[in-house]
Amino acid sequence: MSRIRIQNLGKVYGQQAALAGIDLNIADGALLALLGPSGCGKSTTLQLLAGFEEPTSGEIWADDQLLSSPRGIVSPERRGVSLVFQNYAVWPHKTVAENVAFGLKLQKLGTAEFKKRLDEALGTVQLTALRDRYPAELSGGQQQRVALARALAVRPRILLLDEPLSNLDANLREEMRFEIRRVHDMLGITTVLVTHDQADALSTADQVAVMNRGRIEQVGSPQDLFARPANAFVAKFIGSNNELRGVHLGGGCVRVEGREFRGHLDHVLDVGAPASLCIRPSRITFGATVPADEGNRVQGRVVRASYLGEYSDVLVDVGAQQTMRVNVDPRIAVAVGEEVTLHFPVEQCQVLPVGAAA
Amino acid sequence: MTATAGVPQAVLSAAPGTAPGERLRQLHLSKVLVVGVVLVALLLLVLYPFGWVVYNSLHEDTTQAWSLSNYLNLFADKDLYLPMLNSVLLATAVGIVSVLLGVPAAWLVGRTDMPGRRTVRTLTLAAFVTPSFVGATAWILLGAPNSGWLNHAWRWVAGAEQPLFNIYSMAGTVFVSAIYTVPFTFTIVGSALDSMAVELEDAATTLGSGTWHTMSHVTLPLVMPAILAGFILSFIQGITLFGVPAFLLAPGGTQVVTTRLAELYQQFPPQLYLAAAYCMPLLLLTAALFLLRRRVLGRRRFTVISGKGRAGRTVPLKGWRWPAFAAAMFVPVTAILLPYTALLIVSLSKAWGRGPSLDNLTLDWYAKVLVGNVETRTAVINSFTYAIAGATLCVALGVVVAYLVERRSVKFTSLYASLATMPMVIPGIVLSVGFFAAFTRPPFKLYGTSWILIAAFCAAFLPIAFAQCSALLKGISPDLERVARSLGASEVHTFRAITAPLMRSGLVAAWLLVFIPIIRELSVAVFLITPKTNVMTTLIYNAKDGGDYEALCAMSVLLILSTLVLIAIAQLVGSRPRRSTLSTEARR
Repeated sequence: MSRIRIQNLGKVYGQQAALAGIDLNIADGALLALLGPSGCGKSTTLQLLAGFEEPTSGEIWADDQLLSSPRGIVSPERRGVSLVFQNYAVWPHKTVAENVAFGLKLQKLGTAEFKKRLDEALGTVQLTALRDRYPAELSGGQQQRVALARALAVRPRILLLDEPLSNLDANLREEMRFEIRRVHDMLGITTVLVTHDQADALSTADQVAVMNRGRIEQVGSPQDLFARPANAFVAKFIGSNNELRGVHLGGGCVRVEGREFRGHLDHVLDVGAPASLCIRPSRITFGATVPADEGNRVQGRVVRASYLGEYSDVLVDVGAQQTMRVNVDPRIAVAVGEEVTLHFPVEQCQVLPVGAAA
Repeated sequence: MTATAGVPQAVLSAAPGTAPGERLRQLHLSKVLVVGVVLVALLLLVLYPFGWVVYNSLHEDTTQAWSLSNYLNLFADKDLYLPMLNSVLLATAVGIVSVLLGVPAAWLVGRTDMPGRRTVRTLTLAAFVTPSFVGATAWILLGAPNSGWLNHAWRWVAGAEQPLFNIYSMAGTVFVSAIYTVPFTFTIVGSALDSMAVELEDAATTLGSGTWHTMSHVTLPLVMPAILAGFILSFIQGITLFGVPAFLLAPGGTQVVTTRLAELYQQFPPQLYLAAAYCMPLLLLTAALFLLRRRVLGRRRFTVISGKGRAGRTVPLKGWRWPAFAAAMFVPVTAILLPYTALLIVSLSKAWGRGPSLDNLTLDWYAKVLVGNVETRTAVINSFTYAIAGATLCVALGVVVAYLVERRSVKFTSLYASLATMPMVIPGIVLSVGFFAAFTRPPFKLYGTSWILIAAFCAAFLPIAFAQCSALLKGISPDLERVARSLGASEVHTFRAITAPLMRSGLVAAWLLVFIPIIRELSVAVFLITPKTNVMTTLIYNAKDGGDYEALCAMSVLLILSTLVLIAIAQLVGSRPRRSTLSTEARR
């Protein structure tokens, strides 16, 4: 229940910049996801937010309080920031109730208040019945709930979730996504969720910050990111887009290895600047369905085809060391080595900047 | 908005606009105190004595002036360089013999269907607990040229004039040293065999490789680094061993470095400064060997390739099962069964020369050692007091240093780690020289008190405690601690409430691993004791020339017995049913 302001936050380990000066504002009560591939700086950001690391540059503010700067940091125990880890980090030598009570005890509450808050926290994640169990007697999902209850019991200003779903199997994972969202809507705690899984981020968060190589590529609602990616990196990461990299010729026309393609241009992009043409695998038309008279066509050879029931996932070598992934109607037989024609409908192509850190 | 009631309020002003430049970091008094005490302790225990050894080595004994003459003498004086050569000879032989005995035994126990594998393993490991100088005492009873029982038996059976062997010789010294060094090669190679992925051997088998071909082309090369490491450790043992050569080699006039060092101290006038210089070649050699061992183990990562924990394939020995058992029992018989029997019989005899018979049976010696004789009684009490105090301090120091290093909780962590590891390369007798030099003068005049012994024991075995605690901490995910911090616990509180309880059962093991070597340690104590601060080991050492073997043996039996009892107790405590496992593994 705090507004978070991150200004020019940077972290250098030895020679390597893990975080290259990011700016980020998180509204009071928002649920923001930090999304990116491993090594993109999202975990570093989390460590900095929690106060386990000191930034090399920049500042972190919670409301009007300076939490971190290169001059020093408010130590983790005084920040009012709670954490939930991927590996749960539930203390194996304490029962469920003892785990949850740990932080409450440090707050020196009255007996009645203590008991009330403990029961409340256990109730929130529906663990009341298991309160006297030891973690070894719990499933992964239950342990994750303990971790969540433990983090919430102290009524933190900010809740940090570090890959909380990565260790769970598919079913449990979906359930925990809703659980996180439900608890967030119930308590309204400002929450930062770190994940490398786009489905986790899109399904849970109000806002998603896509990170890459220590920078933020784009911040926006899930809908924004999907429909209007800021650059080719975001488009590839969020929509698993195909990317053809080339030079912008103006007006949404991109030259790739001597061939010209057209697409939508929603961005300001200089003529002669590097640009990418992005299109989703499901939007490419294939083989016999290609209209003969239009542009945006390319010849290629099938290098791999896998039948997936709903569609066939086909990888086509289009020359110049570029491959395109195409989702093909499963009734069409595709043979490896077959010469095919691909068509990229203009209205389905996006012309995007290459991306800040690419 | 401000934090809800109950949220740990940040100490910093929450007023708008915290002034830039204001110090955000708080100094935690308790942490500063802990780190300060630890650093001072490390410096005093490790660097300070070492500094005095170097200082002394650069001074002349007679004139007390700065001089390099001690070092020049090392290579000019025959009485100084010959013992060095003898030491290298002894160590090389010990290394070879303990590999030849330990590696086949490890293989037979770990990889074949030999009968009695557990017995062989247990008894071989029991040699760990047996102080080698106690073994030497027992082997004097067994193998002295005239009075030794085995020689008696030989003359009686074979009707020979000459004894079968003479334990007071280089060969005898090598033999006794080696059988008590075998546990090193046995365990190192044994655990390499245990942890090796079965798949590696299976892969060879599926490719048509026979049992013996797989053994020689896959298994043996894979455990080669372990064998090499075992050899180096045995070599180090052989070169730093003091008790066995003092008992078996020195009486015949042959000196090794360690016994010559003792001579320099015990002669009149003592040559303490020369002794300090005489430590240096030994120190350099052991340090170099430890580095070498680290390289051997570090370079070949595949030694630790681990499988899914399935047991390895067992090689059927067929008709060779019992002959193999007989061979594997060599070390258990010579290091445990024969010596223990001899010690027990002599300690229960009125006079051991009369041989074992019922009318010769007595418990007098035990009564004397424990009650009647003030000297021995004090030594028993001292041994336990020092071992308990030393092990406790040592593990306490080790756990804090390991925490600071593992969790990078302070700057310059490698300094702490190297200080805590350094005593590993310092031979016990050199440590003894160092503590004598450092703590017999102001400002720390500890000589004659219990503290000099407790401190020396603590320093000598700090590397064990540190390594054990580091391993324990590596198994505890830092996230478990981070969560506690984020919930409002300080670093010190987190250590007490989370880290320490999770380490508990491991700490019992660590304590034990320090306690056992302390109670059986001779060379560290040898220059530091006074009649009032004698311990069991030094008493046995000093009594060896008196010929009072019955009391000596009673003392030895008590030493071994009490160690075994303590191990049993500690194992019961350590294996208290654990409700849970450490579910989270270290991530970074």
